Amino acid sequence: MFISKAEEKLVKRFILKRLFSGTIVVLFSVLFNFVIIRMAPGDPTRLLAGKDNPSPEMIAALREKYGLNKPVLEQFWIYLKQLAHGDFGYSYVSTAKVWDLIETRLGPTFLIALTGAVIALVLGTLLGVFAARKKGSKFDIFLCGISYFFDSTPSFWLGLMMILLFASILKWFPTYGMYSLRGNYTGIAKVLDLLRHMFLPVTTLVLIDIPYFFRIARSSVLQTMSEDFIMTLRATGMPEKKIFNKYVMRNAIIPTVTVFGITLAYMITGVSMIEIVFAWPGMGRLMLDSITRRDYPTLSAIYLMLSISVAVMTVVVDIVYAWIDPRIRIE
Amino acid sequence: MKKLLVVLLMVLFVLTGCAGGNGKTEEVVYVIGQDAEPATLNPDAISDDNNYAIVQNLFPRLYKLNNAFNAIPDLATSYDVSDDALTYTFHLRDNAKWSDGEKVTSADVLYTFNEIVDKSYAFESVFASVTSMEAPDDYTVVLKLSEPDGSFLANLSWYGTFILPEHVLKGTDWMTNDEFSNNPVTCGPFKFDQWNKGTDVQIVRDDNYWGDAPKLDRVIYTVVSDGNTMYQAWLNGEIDEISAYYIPTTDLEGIMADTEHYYTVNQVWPSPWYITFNLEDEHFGNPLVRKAVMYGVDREDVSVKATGGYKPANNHFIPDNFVDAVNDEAKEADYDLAKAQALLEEAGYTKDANGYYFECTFAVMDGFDDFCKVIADNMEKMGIKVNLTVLDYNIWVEQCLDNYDFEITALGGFQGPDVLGTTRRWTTDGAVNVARYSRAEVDELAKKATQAATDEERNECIKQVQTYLAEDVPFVLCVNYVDYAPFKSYIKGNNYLSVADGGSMEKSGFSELTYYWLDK
Repeated sequence: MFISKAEEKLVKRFILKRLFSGTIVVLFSVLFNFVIIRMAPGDPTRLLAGKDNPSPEMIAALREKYGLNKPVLEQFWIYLKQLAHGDFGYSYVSTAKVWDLIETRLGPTFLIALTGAVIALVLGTLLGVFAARKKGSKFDIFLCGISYFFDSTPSFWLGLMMILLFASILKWFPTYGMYSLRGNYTGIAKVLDLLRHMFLPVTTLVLIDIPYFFRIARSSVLQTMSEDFIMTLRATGMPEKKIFNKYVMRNAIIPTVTVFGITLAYMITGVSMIEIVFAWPGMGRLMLDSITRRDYPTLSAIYLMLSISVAVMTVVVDIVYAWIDPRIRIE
Repeated sequence: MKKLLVVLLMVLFVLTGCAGGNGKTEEVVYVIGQDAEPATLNPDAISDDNNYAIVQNLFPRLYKLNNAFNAIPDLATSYDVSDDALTYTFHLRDNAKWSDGEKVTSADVLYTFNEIVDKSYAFESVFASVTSMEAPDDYTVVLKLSEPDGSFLANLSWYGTFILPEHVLKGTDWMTNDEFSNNPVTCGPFKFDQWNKGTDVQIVRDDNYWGDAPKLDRVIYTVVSDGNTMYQAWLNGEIDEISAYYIPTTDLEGIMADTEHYYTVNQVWPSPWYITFNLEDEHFGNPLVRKAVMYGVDREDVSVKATGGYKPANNHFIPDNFVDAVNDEAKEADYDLAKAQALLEEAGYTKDANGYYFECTFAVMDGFDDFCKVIADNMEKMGIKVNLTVLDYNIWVEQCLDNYDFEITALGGFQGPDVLGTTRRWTTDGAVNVARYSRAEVDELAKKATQAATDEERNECIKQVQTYLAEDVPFVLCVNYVDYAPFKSYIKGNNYLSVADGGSMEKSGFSELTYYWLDK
């Protein structure tokens, strides 16, 4: 792509502006998350003390130790100082560093979330474009109907149905988890074992995600096709195929990029419901477990990573826009 | 499109085809499902239900409770109690070794108990009446109490009192010692092997173990947070054992009838589900109203509708299974709707145009929904309008237990290991006295029961307590916690079954797997 010096300057300023506003957003969300989590009823130290014979001495000792007896703002200051050292602190619930907990979960989460998102992006967009070109056909009507069906299906229900059908009845795939516990597979067998375990959660995710990409692709293609410049191009006698590939697609792809970017941004917190149904050891489960157990340090770290990821992806999406569509660059 | 389909089908074929076969080891592996991951494998630092089953196979206690709630020898082979019941002398076995080869001695016991007390770890309360701990030699431990404590041995054998290795832990903080929490040095029939975070904890047989060698080579505790998935994985054979809690009541009958593939054990826990009241509430502050609820809630109906009849109605103010301590003269009243309404009218209530005496809010702890719905239904029948609000456990603890901000609520929980465990629910200082019930006579009797020299004397005190509870009705115990737990028929040596029935109850702790073997 060719850009002039003046344009390059504009692009640089554009990126800097976006990065600056992203940083502000992240800082605010750190404060916000910190306070909001602590305002939620429920106290982590109560949970550590147990249900059947809670010891008041232990609760007092833990509150002291974690600094929970200090005012929230003071706690926040301590937290910021800690963060400045790149330290997320210790989990209240697991005797482990927060980063160690998160680190082990990121891989599995990206494995299914990224695979699922990419497959859904490709299939959904292709089907959407296809349906738009054949608008009103039986194929279009069928796809629209089925997209509404999967769009309104809760992921945990669909996941459970997949388990019942493919694991319990047909016995094609394992019920849950990432690896077979009883088999000590190595090499190729291990990879195949992983793929078998990935199949149902990824398929569930793809089925749930396709409708978004399908409908966005379909409607933006339809919208672009109805614009005046397309009519003009048609009037010039340009072949339909060329109009579509060169002019319609490039305009219509922008909303898809946005949705995909946001999907990627939220990927860091995983796909909670699907991870829970398939007992997949990802970030989504870690987040939900941390919420129920009021594990403040782990939650703060996850939310911080989420806000950074959203801020970064927003900037990336803006840059990709500018790349696809010169009009945005100039503005 | 057709090509794509062919490729997809081929992938499917390869994926489904490669099941099993290659790479399998000859190990005898036993897989147990859990709904959450342990927080730590240190058994004494915090109260962690998610490690309790695991650590019982990794660490010794002086004595351990079995599934009949009896304390049986563990690290200690025997103990003596002085005539005044104030001195306990434990005799330790001299052939126990930590998994790193070091000997287990009385120094480890003293280190562990002192640390629990000094740092206020979870089960500090077990040692509340202990005044001194001494080790005259390497294999003797003497604990002195300030006053007799009838449940001392049972509490010592229950939870949070596992012996830990001094040579590994000395000078470290149990709460932040990740090395030990994630890779502990142990002394049990099994030793730690690996912990795949978020997925499973694996333990393997420890050939150093002083006792009978386990027949299982490896036990895997796998984490499946969704109960439906866990149940399917159990049916599909990926998991050998799951808690009966995850087997839907509607499927239980069919599974129990399939005696070719399953056998069912049943275990009564002193953990009844019960209703309790805010004694300062404008309605339930009146004992007549509380009695009305006792008469008006049909416990049989609750048992049938909320538990499919598997958890029987409880008819005393303490769990029915403490048979020697229940007071038949001061039982919970049988169902009598007319009497219930008469009591409400005696309390000064009259029915409004909609047929209700008054309206109240029922704070439901998440997980007790079905139970509370049936109770609410019964209360509606007697003329109390009930609004149910479901609270997650944390919020319930804060709102109901800590802030006493509720009208009527319900809960369960362990009231053992012996009958003195019930005191936590109704003494003024009781840790789980949700009603904040307080009566001097009752506290006095609880103290007498704790210090009683004999079981008869102790039971007599608890019986007297029930006469006061029947007068004041601070709670109504509704159903007794009974587990009907189906096991796959190839699982032998079950710790729920007595040795005579092919089990291992007399020889092993609650969740100990030493004697399990698989007849496949």
